[in-house]
Amino acid sequence: MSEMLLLVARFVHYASAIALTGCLCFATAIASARSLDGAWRRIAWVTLPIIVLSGTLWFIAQAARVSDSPIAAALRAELLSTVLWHTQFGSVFALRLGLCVLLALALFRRTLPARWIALVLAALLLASLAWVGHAVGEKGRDHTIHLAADIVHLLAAGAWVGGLPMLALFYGRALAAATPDAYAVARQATRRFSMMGLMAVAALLATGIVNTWYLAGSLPALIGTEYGRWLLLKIAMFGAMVAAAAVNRQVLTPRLALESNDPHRVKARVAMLKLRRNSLVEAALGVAVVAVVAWLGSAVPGAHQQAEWPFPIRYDFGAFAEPEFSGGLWLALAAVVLALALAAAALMRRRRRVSLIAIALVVAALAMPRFAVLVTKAYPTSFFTSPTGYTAHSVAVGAREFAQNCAACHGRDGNGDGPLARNLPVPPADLTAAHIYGHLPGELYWTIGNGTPGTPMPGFAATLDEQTRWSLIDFITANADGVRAKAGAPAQVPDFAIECPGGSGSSLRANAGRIVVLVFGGSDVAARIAALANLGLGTDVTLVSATDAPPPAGACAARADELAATLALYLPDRTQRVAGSEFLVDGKGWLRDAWPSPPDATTLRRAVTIARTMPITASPRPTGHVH
Amino acid sequence: MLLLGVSGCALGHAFLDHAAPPVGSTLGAAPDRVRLWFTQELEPAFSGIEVDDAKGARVDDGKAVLDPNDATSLSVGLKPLGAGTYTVHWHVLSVDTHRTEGSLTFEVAK
Repeated sequence: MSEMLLLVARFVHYASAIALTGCLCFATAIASARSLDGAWRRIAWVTLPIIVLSGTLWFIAQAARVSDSPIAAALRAELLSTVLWHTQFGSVFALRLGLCVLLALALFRRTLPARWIALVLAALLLASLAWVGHAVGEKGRDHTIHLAADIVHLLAAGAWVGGLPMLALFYGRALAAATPDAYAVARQATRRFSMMGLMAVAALLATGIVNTWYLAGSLPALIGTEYGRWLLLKIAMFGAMVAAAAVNRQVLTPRLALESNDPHRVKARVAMLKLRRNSLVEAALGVAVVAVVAWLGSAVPGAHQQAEWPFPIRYDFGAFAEPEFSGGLWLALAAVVLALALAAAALMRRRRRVSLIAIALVVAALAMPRFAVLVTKAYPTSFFTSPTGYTAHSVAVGAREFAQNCAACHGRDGNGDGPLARNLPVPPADLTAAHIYGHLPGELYWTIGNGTPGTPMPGFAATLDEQTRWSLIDFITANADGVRAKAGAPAQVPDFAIECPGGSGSSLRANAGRIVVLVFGGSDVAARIAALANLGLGTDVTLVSATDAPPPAGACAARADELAATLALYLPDRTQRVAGSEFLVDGKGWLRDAWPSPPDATTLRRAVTIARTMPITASPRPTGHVH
Repeated sequence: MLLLGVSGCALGHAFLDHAAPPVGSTLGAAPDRVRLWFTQELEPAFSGIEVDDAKGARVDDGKAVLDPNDATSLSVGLKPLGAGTYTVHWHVLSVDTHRTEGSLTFEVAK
């Protein structure tokens, strides 16, 4: 009930705010107010109360939603005032109510400056909707960019879509008057509206791309989530509106010109009838777009749902980074550019057109096979992201499950050399090889759940729950990272709890920006920590003792049990006892050094300096969020 | 073309980004606070954290507060905890007015 009210109120509010802005914009900038005969004023006076009423209903439905109560229960003064004064949504609502009052005052005065002021106020009323949209959920620079894009998007929609009903009304009046004067005025207004519409469409397109980027985030999210599919529907309807506008501008508008050989103005009249019809079609599509927008506003953006990939293949730009393929790929890209240039040349000149197009086709056809490496096999879960947050706990769970379910074939260390391996018709995959990094986590997730047809690899979806399967992937990742870390490749250390004196809980990720020296020790750990503290490694270095015994007084500590099993993966000999080893993790969570035994002061100082001054530029694989 | 494969900053609802103590972790000493970081800024008037012990009794001080320097981080103080498993239930309202909730556990070892 409250969801439905929220949806309807938001839809009506958006639509009426757009209509009011478009109406005032049309009456001030497009057509002389006189030719509209005060109709715009009546429309404004009808729209404004609708804006206030729908806004109030939206506010009440929102209060019901945030307090998780039915509408009737939300109508409490205490709750409404908390929402009004103690949330950003409430402050924006109060401010916009104030704008409505000022707008009413401006509409009362029948002067030209008052009309401009009313237009500015209506634009502010519309633009301020950006502060109750998804953009306010972002931080820093993204917040500014997304908010600015939302504002421009709303204003452009107001000027163009909101002006369409006025345009249709305007044509109606010109058709009724049917005087040469009326046609001249209509032609002029059409030209102005068309120019403004062109700018508005450009602005809507540019800001729409920015917003799609922020909200859907990626192609998989755009086609693989419900949010993304609604967004695609919106884009399709926008495309239809632009097509109708293009017909108006390119075909119909020139026909409005009165010609001497058409004394009864039949041609112009027909053109104007069609213009009016098209404007109404565009306006109707605009209303449908706003309805989709109202729905999207309460939906989870695609970037935050698991995106189901509907195709058996997907793109993979990784090949551009591989020396084996990159040369051929760039060459093929150059060939495609050449083919396009040839095709363009063929279109522009008549001579040798056929042969030019033939050459272009041959060049393009020769280049195409090269692009095959950009396409790879895909599964419905290809673009799923892990919910585990990549913690030492998850790696430890994964290690345990791996030993029980996977090690018999894939081997204890994942090398593909388990005791059962030699009897299998297809050898088990080496889970430490580079190919592991070529698969998206979501593809490993699919394989673990569903097996690989044609091989002995079974599916574990029936025996291991989702969380456990993701934990297995965390272990496989840490395990493969460990193999590569020995060769100097960067590895992200899984998150773990760090407890410091003073009590408040912390963790490696919460410690971001600081360098962590992690010391695994036995009874002598207190002495080692004291020695490290005396080295004066810098104020940005946190010393953490990982021990099962009570931590030394004054030092930060981490529980050794699960952490030891995880960090042992990064040691040169993973069967070695972790006790006595030390690890250096930089401010971005990269493992910089793994020492099997305590390093001397010079080594440690140099390692800290390197970690501080030479950041690793690789991007960590996304760990996903814990939902 | 630009959209392909590059993941923008994901937003809309506030989801748990990370926690201290981390989700599922085991601690040697009892923490005195639980701190949660979310993927977007929160409205403190409609956000809260409840921490229960294994028997379901509340062990938090009931006053979840927003970090004054980081509006994405909510924390709550804890009573002195004994060994055992604790469940953290959270519900938050993001500044763009979406509600989300969830839970996680951590363990205090003997």
